[in-house]
Amino acid sequence: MSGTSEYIPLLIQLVFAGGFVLLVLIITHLIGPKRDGARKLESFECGIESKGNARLPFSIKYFLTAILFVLFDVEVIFFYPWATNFREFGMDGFISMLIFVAFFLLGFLYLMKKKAFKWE
Amino acid sequence: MSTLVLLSLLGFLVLFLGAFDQKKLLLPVAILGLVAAFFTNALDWGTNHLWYGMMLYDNYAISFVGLMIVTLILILLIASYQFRNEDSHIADIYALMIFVLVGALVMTSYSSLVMLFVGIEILSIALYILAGSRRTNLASNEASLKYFLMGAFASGFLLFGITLMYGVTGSFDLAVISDYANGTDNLPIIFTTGVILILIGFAFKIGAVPFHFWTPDVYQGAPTIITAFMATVVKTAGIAAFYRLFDTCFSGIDGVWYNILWAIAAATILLGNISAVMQNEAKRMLAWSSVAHAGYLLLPVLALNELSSSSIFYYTAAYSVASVTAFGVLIAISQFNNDLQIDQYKGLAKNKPMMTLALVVSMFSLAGIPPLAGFFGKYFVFVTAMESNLNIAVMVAIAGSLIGVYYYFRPVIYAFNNEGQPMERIATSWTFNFVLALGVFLTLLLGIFPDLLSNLPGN
Repeated sequence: MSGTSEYIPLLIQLVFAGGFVLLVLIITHLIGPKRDGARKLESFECGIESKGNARLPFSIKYFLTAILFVLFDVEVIFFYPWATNFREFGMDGFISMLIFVAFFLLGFLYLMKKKAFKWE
Repeated sequence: MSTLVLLSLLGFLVLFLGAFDQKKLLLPVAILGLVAAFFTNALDWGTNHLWYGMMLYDNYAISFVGLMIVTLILILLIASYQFRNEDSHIADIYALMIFVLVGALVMTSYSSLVMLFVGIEILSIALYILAGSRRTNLASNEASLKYFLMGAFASGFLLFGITLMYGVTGSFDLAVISDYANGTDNLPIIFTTGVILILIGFAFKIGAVPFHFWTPDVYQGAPTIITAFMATVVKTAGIAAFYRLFDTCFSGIDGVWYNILWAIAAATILLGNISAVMQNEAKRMLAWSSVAHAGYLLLPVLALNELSSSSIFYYTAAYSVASVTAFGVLIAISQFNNDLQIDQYKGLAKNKPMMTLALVVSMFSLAGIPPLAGFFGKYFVFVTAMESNLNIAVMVAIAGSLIGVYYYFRPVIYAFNNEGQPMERIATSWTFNFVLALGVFLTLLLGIFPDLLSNLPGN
């Protein structure tokens, strides 16, 4: 097969990339200074000594808001290809989009009735 | 197509009835809508309309959709009984079940691989939510997560297979793929890889060995009525979609997939039945038994002759009715005890004779005892397989059925043991009694007059 030889540069690059990682790992291990201790093992945060636990409770409402944002954001994206092809799609495309928006608004209405937007 | 639109709008209507607190109207509206959908579906009989080159609404699709609508009606009636004392989220559960049916409809009538994938996703995404619908229960959450991860993985396999098909043939259309598969002498390796990947995706979805690992845990963790739904409607849709694709496209190239599917079917029958024997929990036993039934249903797909579609249809009909009845009895008995052991059926015959009758008929039908519907289901499947010289596979299946008799009889034997706890406290409702009576009636009717359905779907 003549096609196989074309990929040899790719193989060389693969070997080089892997070899470089391995080489750097070995060299840093050999020439780097070795320090252990409590301070060394502490998690680094902007040079300031860290306080407390990172696992704080925060309101689950943020989660719902974020999910709803993603949902509606994705649906809005479908408007863009439609808008750029607006003329070609004509009346059929317009009616299809109206149906799409109707379903979209039904979902919105459902969320309102389920009190998903009530913060308190 | 009118059925598809009607079912989608019905789903939204039920959803909004719930959001506007019209709890009393939920069940009547859902049932009436499904009955209307059954009739619009039946009106399309014989039209064979190809919609936009995407969906071929032929008699095959109409038969299976009709069966699934009837099954869903029975399941909704039992669901109203199971959720009678809870007032949250019932509308959402009903609506999601109807949306699953929409996906199932697309899966049985696709004529393009895109619609197959869209149908499977409509079905699966609603099911992931349904499996986790008992939100405060840890097992239900586990079932939902497991099902989601495994299901997403399986969808990935299926999609990869579809992509390879498209890469080779340049089309998603089943007719084009079929022409390519039957008209090419040396199929490229990526085409055969695509066939195998699609096969794996389907095996995941119907829970066939060795892709069955999610089945027992998900079936056990999900609320019992959802388990009944998954074991009947979803399995029917999965096997109908499986057969439609292999019958339309890959019947001429069985050298590619025949041995693999043979091994999958035999392993599914044996492992499903042997594992069901070892279960002590009633729900888990029924979960493993549904794995075994998926194995029997693979035999007509393997045989792929002119009898296959009607034997698949008859088998799924008999199996759905018997399963809904069996799960109904399980729901009634387990209302005070979530993890019901099989020996806790004790005392049922003394206290609830009618419920015992339903249990006996459904279990005997699942085991395949004549003259019940399950017997003729198995008979038709075996005859179909023999027709294509699958003698060894049929012998494996008969051995599996013999093992099945043991574990299907265990609950029945315990039910006639009078030493058990009193079951007077078990409350029933008229919808529940109606479904049980109808289940017994249909199982006997289909067993005595198998001709009623055995000619469907016809061509």
